[in-house]
Amino acid sequence: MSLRQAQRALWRAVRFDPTPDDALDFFDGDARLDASGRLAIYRRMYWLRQVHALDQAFPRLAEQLGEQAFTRLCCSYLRHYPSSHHALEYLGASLPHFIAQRQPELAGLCRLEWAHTLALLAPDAPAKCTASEARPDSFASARFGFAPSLQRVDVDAFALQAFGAGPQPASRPTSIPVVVFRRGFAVRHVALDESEARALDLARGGACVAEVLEDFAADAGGIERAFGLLRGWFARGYICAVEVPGVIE
Amino acid sequence: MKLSPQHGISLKATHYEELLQRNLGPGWAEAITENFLGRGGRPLAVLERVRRDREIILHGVSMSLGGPDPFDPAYFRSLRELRSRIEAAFVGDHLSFGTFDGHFGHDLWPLPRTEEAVRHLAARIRQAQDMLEEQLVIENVSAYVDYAQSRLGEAEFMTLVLQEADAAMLLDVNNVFVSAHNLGFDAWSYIDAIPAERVRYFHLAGHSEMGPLLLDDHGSAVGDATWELYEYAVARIGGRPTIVEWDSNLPALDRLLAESEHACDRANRISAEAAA
Repeated sequence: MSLRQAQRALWRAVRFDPTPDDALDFFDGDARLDASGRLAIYRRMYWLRQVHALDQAFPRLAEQLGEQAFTRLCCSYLRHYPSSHHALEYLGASLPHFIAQRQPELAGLCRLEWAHTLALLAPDAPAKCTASEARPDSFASARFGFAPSLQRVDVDAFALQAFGAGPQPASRPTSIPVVVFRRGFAVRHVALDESEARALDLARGGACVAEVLEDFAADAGGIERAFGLLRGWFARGYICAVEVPGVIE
Repeated sequence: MKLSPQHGISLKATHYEELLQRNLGPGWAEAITENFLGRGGRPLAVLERVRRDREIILHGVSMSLGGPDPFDPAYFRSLRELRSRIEAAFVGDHLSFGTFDGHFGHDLWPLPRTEEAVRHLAARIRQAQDMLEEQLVIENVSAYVDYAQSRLGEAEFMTLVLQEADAAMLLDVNNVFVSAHNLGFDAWSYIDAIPAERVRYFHLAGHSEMGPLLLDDHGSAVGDATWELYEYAVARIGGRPTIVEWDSNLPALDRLLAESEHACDRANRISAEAAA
């Protein structure tokens, strides 16, 4: 029996209940507890630890579903998506996709909670913002660099309500653009209107300032509003760099 | 670096806010590598704050040194960055595997104690050490089951791996006690057989009873039997920094610090008696 065969046997023992007989053959027990009972300790820890990690990442989803249904969801998810990241906190990466196929009414909440997790886990933004180095006449061609913690998701009113945002007006669209960001150590989210969401998506996609603000030019008061948006992006720490052609950072 | 019997604690998220606010004084602190790798925000701020007062050990749980899958170079790049940033005193992981076919089990599974496993582990540890350009500190794990094909003794297996890989050891005294009970070997003989010169520091933790076995749950104060084994290890190996681990039923930071100071007092007493 090779080392790899032995390792495969342990992997199958923790993943499947009961342990498959051919895997059981690789292990010894004693009069106090047989091999099956001993492997059950590892199996219990494997599932409990990972369900707990998902509970930590999706507390509002867990609350909505209740303990038993949430545990069933997690176990089904883990059977389809075994962890593929060295850090347990990233275990839920595919849960929004998974739940969208099974309980789409909860997919928005799941996306929002996962965006919060990603914002929390992200590295810090570079300390220095280079905006002051940009020449005024090159500003229109500048592009923004965004904080690693910044997340953009589309959710529904139910997701915002679950975060305590209060009842939503009946006229709210079913898809609400949201930005999730970290300020200091705290993660927050803000619902955006369509024009800000479009501008932010353009900017994050690499569009220059002129392209980002183009939509605002045609509206009365649009310029004032456009620069108000940019001021907000800087103030909330969305933007961590301004890349101007010809300026070496 | 002086390896005297100084006290240390493991960093837990529950204590982060307090750790940001206070000066812990000199000593050691152990950070679970994966909780800080590639992170910013509060975890990194805590690590940098604690580093102002204490030596930091980066203790991994996901390197899967005995695993069948190739190492992830990105993991090691991040680890090198973090180690440099905080000037970690030691970097280490476990004598175990925790991955299979690209999937993580987030556990520390034992390996069959065979010559093949020794060669596999030693080669992988050497590879990891080459990538990090640093000697790794390898911890013995708690075990609840043994493989039918195991032929080597627990201490013999660890010693062969350490020697073939030229690695250092983190001796987890509680894990020795728990595994000895569960697998039926003698804990004191294990301490006797370990190469003392390779031991860089000790771990202590509490365990609980689970039916006929002991569970390494880190959920209580260090038990009397583990203290006894710790004193024996200090007498045999010498004083080393000692980290008290506490993961579940986590007490207040002051209680954890008191437990680690108690370990230091015991080690100092044993060292003084040995010197006398």
